[in-house]
Formats: sequence, structure tokens, C-alpha cells
Amino acid sequence: MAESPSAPSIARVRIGEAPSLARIDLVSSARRVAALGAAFAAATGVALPCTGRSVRAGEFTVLALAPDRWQIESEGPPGHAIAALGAIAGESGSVVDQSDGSRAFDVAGPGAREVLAKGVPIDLDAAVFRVGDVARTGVALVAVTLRCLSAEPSFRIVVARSYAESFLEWLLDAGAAYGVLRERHSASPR
Amino acid sequence: MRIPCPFCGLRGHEEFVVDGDATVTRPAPGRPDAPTAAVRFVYLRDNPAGWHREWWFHAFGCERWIVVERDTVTHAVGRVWSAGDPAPGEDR
Amino acid sequence: MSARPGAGARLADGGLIDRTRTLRFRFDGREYAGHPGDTLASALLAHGVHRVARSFKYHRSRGILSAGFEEPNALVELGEGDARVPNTPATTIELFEGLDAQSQNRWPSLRFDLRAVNRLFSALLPAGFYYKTFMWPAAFWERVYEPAIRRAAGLGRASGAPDPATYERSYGFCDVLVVGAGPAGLAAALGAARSGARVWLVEADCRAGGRLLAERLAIGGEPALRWVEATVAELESMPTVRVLRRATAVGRYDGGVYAILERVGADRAQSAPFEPRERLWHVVARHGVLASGAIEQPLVFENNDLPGILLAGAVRAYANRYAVLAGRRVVVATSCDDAWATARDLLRAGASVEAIVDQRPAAARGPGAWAPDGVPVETGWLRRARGRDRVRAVEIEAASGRTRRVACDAIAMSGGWAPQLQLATHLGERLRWDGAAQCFAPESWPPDLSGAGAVCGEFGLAAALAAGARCGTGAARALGFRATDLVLPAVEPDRPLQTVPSRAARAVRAAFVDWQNDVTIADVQLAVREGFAASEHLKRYTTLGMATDQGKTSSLNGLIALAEATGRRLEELGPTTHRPPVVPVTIGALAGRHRGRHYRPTRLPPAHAVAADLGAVFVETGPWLRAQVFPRAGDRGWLDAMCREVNTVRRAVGVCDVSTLGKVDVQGADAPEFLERVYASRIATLAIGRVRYALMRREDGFVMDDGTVARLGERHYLLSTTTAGAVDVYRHLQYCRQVLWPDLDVRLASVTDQWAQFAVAGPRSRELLGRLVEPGIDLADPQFPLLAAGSVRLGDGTAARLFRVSFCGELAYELAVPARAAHRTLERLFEAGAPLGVAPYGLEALGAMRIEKGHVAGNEINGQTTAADLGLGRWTTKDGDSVGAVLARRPGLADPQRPRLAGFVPVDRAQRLGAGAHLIALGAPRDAAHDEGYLSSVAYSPTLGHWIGLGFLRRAAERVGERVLAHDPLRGRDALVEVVETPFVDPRGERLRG
Repeated sequence: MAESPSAPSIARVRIGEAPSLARIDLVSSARRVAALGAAFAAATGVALPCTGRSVRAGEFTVLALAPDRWQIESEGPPGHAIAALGAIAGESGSVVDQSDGSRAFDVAGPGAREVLAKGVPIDLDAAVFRVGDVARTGVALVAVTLRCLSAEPSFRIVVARSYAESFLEWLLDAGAAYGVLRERHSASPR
Repeated sequence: MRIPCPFCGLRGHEEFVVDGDATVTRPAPGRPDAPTAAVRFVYLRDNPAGWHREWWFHAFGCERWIVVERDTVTHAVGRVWSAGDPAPGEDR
Repeated sequence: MSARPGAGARLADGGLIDRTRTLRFRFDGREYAGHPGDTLASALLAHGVHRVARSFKYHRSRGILSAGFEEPNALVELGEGDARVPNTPATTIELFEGLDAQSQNRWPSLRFDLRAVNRLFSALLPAGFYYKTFMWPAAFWERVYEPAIRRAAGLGRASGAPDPATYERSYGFCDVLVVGAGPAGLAAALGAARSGARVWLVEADCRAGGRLLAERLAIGGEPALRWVEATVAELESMPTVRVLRRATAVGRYDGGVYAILERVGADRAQSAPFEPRERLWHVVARHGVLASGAIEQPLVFENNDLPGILLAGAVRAYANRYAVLAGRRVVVATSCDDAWATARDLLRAGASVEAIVDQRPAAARGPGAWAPDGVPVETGWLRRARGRDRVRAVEIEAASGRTRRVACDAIAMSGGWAPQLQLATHLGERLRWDGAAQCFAPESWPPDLSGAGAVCGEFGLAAALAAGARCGTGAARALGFRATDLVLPAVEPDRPLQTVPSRAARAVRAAFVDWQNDVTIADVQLAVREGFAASEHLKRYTTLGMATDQGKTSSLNGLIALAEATGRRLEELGPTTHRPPVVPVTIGALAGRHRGRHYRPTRLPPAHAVAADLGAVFVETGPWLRAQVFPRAGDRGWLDAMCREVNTVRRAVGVCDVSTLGKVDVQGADAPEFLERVYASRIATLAIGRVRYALMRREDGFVMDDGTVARLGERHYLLSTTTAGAVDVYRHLQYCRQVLWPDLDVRLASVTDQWAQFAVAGPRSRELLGRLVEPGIDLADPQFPLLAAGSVRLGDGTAARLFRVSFCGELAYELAVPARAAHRTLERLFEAGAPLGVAPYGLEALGAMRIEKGHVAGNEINGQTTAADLGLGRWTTKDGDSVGAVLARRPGLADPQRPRLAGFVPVDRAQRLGAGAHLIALGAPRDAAHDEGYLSSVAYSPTLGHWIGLGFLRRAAERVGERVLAHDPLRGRDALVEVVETPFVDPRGERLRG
């Protein structure tokens, strides 16, 4: 059972900017979403996940944000992902580059859940928000996309670029009592 | 109040924006009585003490519009379904 | 446990205090000492300090009444300076080294309080006196009477300074929330936790145990506290269990949501680093178990508020938990068995019990009502306590009618126990009187809440343990966990409490019902005489139960008095509705981190740092920070900077960051049709590679937002919205897509943050952009005419978009680049533009220029104006369905009397205009009946050299050239203005075409 240490000597949470990734919205409509699903499965061998889940399809990590909207993370350059996804989607889905529009922060360590509980209004218990689960919610009045990356536990939080500095300040304040190790990733976008 | 979003699960009402009465439907365009129908649609509302249907937008969530059955007296939440779907148990 | 003579009131041994350490503290400037485990109240009592306060209205001396958070009297100001916290119950403050507290509501001192003179006028100051007096002259109320009355009465003083403490909020989720860690709560938590359910146990006190901390009871043949400790240890060893101490469940809300206030660093010496003073938990529990116990009620008799008169259970708590004697010659007065234990515990501690006065005849008492031989026992009531600042004697009226006086230095009184059912009623549940248990109970428990122990009238230890265990395992099973019944250690069988609510005293002024608000029996009877005979009316008329203690020790006696005064039975009356919070909650805890700068998040455009480096002054536009002006050395103020920026744009070239405007990407086979229906303007005729200004209406026909629509491809559009309207417009678009026309193939994506956007405006703007774009791109007029839109590549490879739109009326473009490129693109613009005389411009200049051109913005599109009002009727002429089309054609909206947009200049060109001024015809009275419109936007025009304004005026088109009065009562600055046509500058739009 967790307890805030009075003078953290060991960092119980690591907070850092996620590696720079291409981030593409794949959006459809009620009429075309079934066709999009079929096309995606045919091209990748993987079904588009249902809202709240994520799945790996080759070089893509696909996050389901809504019944007709997915966000794809990819390590390569955005142009490549856009072209590939556009080819897959064809007429049944639109591909919109959001790589510049957001920033992502990774929160990991034994204190990660306690830190996030200060602002995340959903249940992050390991049995409820499992590895690969995705949730869009609001944290400290900022819309976020939250994903459970691993059982360490570690989480990735994506926020709109304009909110990122304000949100990061909240995140670091929330973690201060738990001893934050601030990590810097090599390719943090600015 | 907690609202069971059909896509995101049970969430606090703070994640939503409420828009109002979901029992009224936008009149089809071109009706002969279009002005009267439009006034009814935009302005006239029943105000029941009891079960009611409302439009809620999951702003901090999936950004879907959903219909929420809510008892305006007890705040109990009943069935919830997505825009574009029929109410559970009813046909379109 | 025995008292050493002459050693004050601290007993030589016993108590849950750490006698190996001494803590020094100050109260009203005097130094005292206590031990860890003491409260401020117990430590003061240990020194024989009983008088700790002056009452609210009459400034009567008051002492400590209780040993818990129900304390109505012993409220102190804790700390000093801007950290001073008023109205803190001394009974809940854990003693710490260096504690500094002050009594309240007395001047100049507690001992000698000048305002005690109020009691001489007490006949004039009963409940509700301010409804009947101090009425004339009317003006005096606000200026004279009310301030005087406020100063004469009250509780503590707020520091008046910003709260220096930090607060936190946090979320929690669990299966079973148990409120209260007394025997019932511990058993419930254990029963639920062993099944594997996620259990939270919250306890308001600093340690678990509840009543067990104050009593000398045994569980399993051992002191009860051993079982408490073992249970807590087991609970804390489970990773699925969370035990929170110093945490009060203050509210229960819909959906299983509970608010829990945790006093983390409060009432302690130094907070640990990063520790908040308080933490407010928002807990979602699938099932709640209420084990919040009961609170003992006082007896009502004359002068029952003298220091030295305490609740009987509190006297036991002070003796057993804190090793403090509340008095040495004590009279015990009661209407239930429970208080007899006080007499026994006092005797064991070496005090003398002068009498036990029980309201019930001997036959009506239960087996718990026994005392050692030699203790005088009477059947009767307390009639009047005597003493000045401490009780010295009490008059006892026997059932036979005989009265005798007994000398004493303390009275331990008990009017029975009232269950703390607040959480069970927060959602409107009703209480009814349970005659068997002689207390209130819920008419029914909601499906996700159950109760156990004293809160349910189960006052005995065995009953509490059993009920708690049942509730805990029952809750776990109801949630689908497999719970085994809890095997409880043996306890003595309970004896029924046999309590009856105390009889109300005769009407005497000083028989107090509500200590904190100085409400007496006489006030209750006065209220009934005046017709306020319902419990809710009684409460509000007398203020009984409305103080910070919210009636915890007063509402039951108030109801009893009301029943007697109206000749009704308690069963017919209902207690008043209780609403959250159960105890006072610091405003800071509600705010959490959202104060000051952190009140809401701040949004920054991608190139914010560049503007900051250029010395911009920023202004908040909603959550965004936008550059307002870019001052330079030598500017006399913002006006100078704004004029310079406008002149630069109109003569050379300027750059403005407009990234904050909303941008929505719209695609899909039916995108053109969708946009045609969403906008009031015609979209279907927009060609690829073109952008147009468009209006969006609400369904009621009024304009919602304005912006642009650019067609980037056959079925690919990019919409822009105002900064303020972006979120609402996006939601509205989703509404149209999902609710109104779900069969259309339309896909939306908000790309506001994906793209940075800069307005590049002025005669040299084309030249400047020419230096940025890839060589070979021709921006000359035929290739890129007015309202062209398309993708361009910049010289550094950035894939940008260019739109030829102008808000300021000059030759202008808007350049959009992916946010990653914003910083370097903006720097490149200033670098390349330096020889052209480029300068940045901000919102002030932007605003002045658009007003010069007569363009409408948020001040005009205020939700009350139609396209016709705005002079934009020609942007809404189309047939076919679109949002708001039908009601926009309402006859009422075509009324020529509706104010329409026009321009205004001051007749005296040197005069300043004020937005919000109302337009009155010359010579007409300046009142609402003659109000013909208002000024919506004003600016100083650097181009014209005087102030100009946009506004709405009835029949404006016919009145060009007329002079009207701009009446500004708020600023006291009227101006004579002339109605003119807009634009003010370059009326034929020649500069636009560059």
C-alpha cells in the first residue's frame, strides 16, 4: 500500500517526453467504417481494435479512440505512414497527419498510478486498465489520450501541443512527492 | 453523476457536455408547416419530473453524441445509446 | 488510575498519550505543556483550563463540551498571519510542539470581554431580532446597523491573506468504502477485504478505534484496542486495502461518488515537503458501508452552557483516552444507561461523583445503570446550573417535585445518542423516527449503501461487530466476491442502551439548544408562536443547526423542543435535510491545484517563444496566451505600440500569429453536401484551390460563428473558426454529423494544434512571402489571386499552405506550416523581412485594423445578432436546407427596427469612445425606453487619427450622417457620435487587391 515519502530519496516515478513518433488520424464515417475495417484487416492481417484498445500492426500501433476514429503511431517519418495508410484506406477512410499537433509523455515506475490518480478520473488499477488499453479522458482540464504501455506500470499520455507545457507542469507537480526522475529522450520535438 | 458511455464505459459527468432534449427531432426540410415545426423543435420543451432523454456529448472522451435516459428527480441513469442507433430494445 | 492531589487534572497513569515526550504550546498567549496523543482540548483540560471561548451572540463564557468534531464551543484560531485558520475545534487538533492558538470572538480578552455587555440586551436580541428591529431609517441598515451587528457577533477571523498552504485533489476507486474505523467499520472492512475486494477504510480521527478509544471494553478477553491494532495491521498488509486516517467522508453524490477530506498536513507542525495541507479525494465506490457512529446529545436546562458542563461520553474519553479529569466533583445527569459508565470511570480515576440524576424511574433503567454503593442516585432533571465562568453547583428537580442544590465543578450530561446519518441522506433519502431504538433511521437504505453499528441504533459492541461483519461480507458478495463469514472474537453480550430523548426544559432564556448560534428553548418557543412551526422553518428562523457544527449536538433537542411546543410527537416531525459537507471543507481543498495561475491550463501557440523573445505583452484569450502588443523602448504606452504596428502593416508588412483560430479538416464523399447544410453561406460553389468567408448559424437563426472554408481537394476542405468559438463549433459539427445526418459520409478532424498559422499583411507581404517560398512559385495576382488557397513548399522544404485572405484590408496572406516548423518559419519571416521593414503585430493592432475595415468579430457575433443585423445578409442567400435557415426567415428578425451594424465617429474627433455605450437619439431621455442600439467595438484608428466604433443602431442605413448620443453611464463618459458607412479606411477595397 503506497504512502508518500516525506523526503523522496528514491525516485518512484520517471517522467519523460515520449520518443518522437508519427501520429496519424484514421477517420471514417458510419457508412464506410465497415469497409475500412475490412480493408485494414486485408492489408495488415490485423483487425482494427474496438474503442478503448490498441493493437500492433506491423510498424503501426493502432489506438481506437472512437467507433470511427483510430490514431496510428509509427516510428518512421509521417509521410511514409500517411502514404501507406492512405493506400489501405482508399475511399473508406481519411488520413490526417497529427504528428505535429500533439506531444506525448511517458510516466513509469512504482509510483506511476498514485501520481496519475491526482488528475486522471478513471480507474487505473492493473485489473481494470490493462496493458494496451486506451482511454480518452480529461486530466486537470486537458483532454488526453492515455495508454497503458506495460505492467511496470508505465503509461503514455498524449496531449494537444498547445496544452503540453501546462500539462507537463501539472504532471511534474503531481509527481514531486514521489520523487521524479525526469528523463530526456533523444528526439523530443519542440 | 456517472454516465455509462457505450464506447468508453462508466465516466463522470464532468467529461460530458449536455445539450438538452433528445425527444425532439429536427423537422425534415421543405415541410409546408416548416416555421411552426421549427419553433417547436427549437423552443418548446416538455419538462418532465421523471424519466427523460437527453443529448450528451462525450467531450473529454470519444467525442460521440449519446442519448442518456435520466430520471430528472432521482438522477438515476437508465439506458444509454449512441447517436444514430435506435434505443436498445426499440426498432429504428 | 488515580489522581495525584494538586497535580492539575492530569491523571498519574493511563491514557493513550506518550508521557515520555512533552509538547509545548500556547493558548491566548500563555504557555502550556501536553503530550503526544493529546488534543488541544485535552491538554487545556489537563491544566484545568475550561473556559476557552465566548459565545456567538451573548458572549457568554463557554467551555469544552465534547471530545470530537461535533464540538460547538471550543473553536480556536490556529496559527498566525496568513496561515491563521479560524473556527478550528480544539477537540480535533492533535497537539504538536509549538502549537499557537487563540480564542475567538472576544475583545479585549477571553477573561474580560467587553461585548459580554450584549447579554444585558439579551431580551432584545432573541432569534430573528434582525427581522424586526434596526429597520429605520432604511439606509442605516447597510451603513450602520449591519456592520455593527457583524462586529459584535461572530466566530473566528479569516486571515484576509491568500492561503499559503497547498492543497491537492485525487481520485480513488474501490469496491467497498467503509466510513468509520470503529468496531463496526473495522469488522466490515475486514469482512470485505478478506474476500479480495478493493476496500477503502476512512477514519476521521488520527487513529482507528472509534468509541473503543474512549471506553474500557474488552474484545476476545483482551483490551479492545489490541483487536483494533491487529485488525488494522491485517488490513494494511493487503495490497487491495487502503486505510486513510484523519480523513472524513464529507459527501455522498450520485453514482457512488464520495468526497473524502484528508487532513494530511493540517493541524500539524511543519508539513513534510510536497505534502499538501489537505487532500480532497473523489472516490468512486461500488458499495458504501456507513459505520460513522453516533454523537451524544446534551441535556437542556438553564445555564447548561457553563464551562465545566460536558457530554458524559466526552468525560469518559478525557479520562480513559487522555488521562484527564474534567472535574473532581462531578454530577452525572442522564436519560440513558450509557452515562452511568461515566460515573464508574470517574470513581475509578479518583474523582467524586456527587450525584447521578437519571430522568427515568428506576424501573425504566436498564442493566447498564448501576453504580457502586455510596453514590447518590436521584430520579429527576437538572433545572439550573449555577456559576459564573465555571459551573459551581446545580439545582436538581426530583421527580417528586423537590428541588435541591448540589455543589460540583463539572456536570457530565447525556441526552442519548443520535446516529450520524448525514451520508445516508445526502441524495434526498428521508429519515423516520425509530421508536424501538429511540433514534432516527433511514426510511430505506439505497441499494449501494448499508449501515452498521451505532449509526443504525446498534449501540452495543457485540451488535456493532456483528452488524459490521455482516455488512462487509454482504457488500462483497453483492459485488460478486466470495466472502466467508467473519469469525469474531467473543465479547460480552450487549446490554440495551435504554435511552430516551431528554425532556425539554421549561422556557428559560439561558437553556441552550444550539451552543454555537446561541439558540435557546425560548427562541424555539418564540418561533412557534410566530408561526415557524415546521422543522425547516424553525431552523432558518432561529438559525438552530446552521452553524459550523450543522446541528450535530442541537438538532435533536431542537426537534424535541419543537414537538413539545407544538403538541406533536417526534415521529411526526422530520429532521431537516442535510447536505454535503458533513464538516467544514476548506475552500482551498475544493480548488486543489486550480488556483491563480493554475486555475485552468494555459494554451500556447507553437511559436510562443519567438513572440516572448520579441518582448510581446501577452493577454489571455480564453485559455490561450496571445501577443497583445510588441512594445519598444520609447513607447509611452500600449497605444504607441499599437499605432506603430498598424502603420507598419498598412505601409510595409507585418506578421501576426493567428495559430489560435480553430481549424477543422473535413473529408468524405459527402463533404460538400455536409458543409452546404452546416453553413448559412453557399459552399457547394467553392472551387478547388479557393477559400471563402462563411457564416454558421444556430438552429434559431442567429449567427453562431464566422470563419473561412478552403477547398483543398475534390472532397477535402479546411474550415477555420474564431479562437473563442473553436471548441463549440467542433462540437456542433460532430452533432450535425452524428445526430442530424448520420448517413452522410463525412469525416472530421480537429487540426488546430497541427498547424501554426501566420498572417502576413501589408503592401510588401507578397514580396516577403516570395522570399520564403520555393523558387519557382509565383505569387503574382493571376497565379495566386484574392481568395486563392493551396499547398506551397517553402525554400527550406517545409510543406506549407497559403491562403490569400485579409482581415486587415491590406494585401495579405495567411501562411500555415506544421507546428514543428513554426518557430523557424517565424524567425525566417522576420529575417527575410527585415530589409522590407517587417514588424510583428498583436491583437490590439489586429483589432484596430479590422474595425477600420468594418469587419465583425466576437463583439458583434455575440449570439444575439443575425446575418442581416451584421450587414452580412449577402453571405446567407441560398435556397435549400441549412442549419438555422427556417428560423432566420422569421418575420420578427426582418423587423426594420432591429438594430443594424453601422460605423460611428466622434463628432469631436479628440474624444474617446467606449464600447458598450448605448445610442440615444439627440434630445431623447437617456433611458431604456429610448435605447436605440449600442457600440460593440471601438478602437483608436492610427490611419485616421481618431477613435472609431462599430455598433448596432435601429434603421442605421437610413440614418447615415445623423448624430446620436453614445451614452456611457458606466464610465460616465457620454459622446456625440455621427453615423457613418463602413469601411472607414479604403472603402472600395483597392488595397486588398494589391
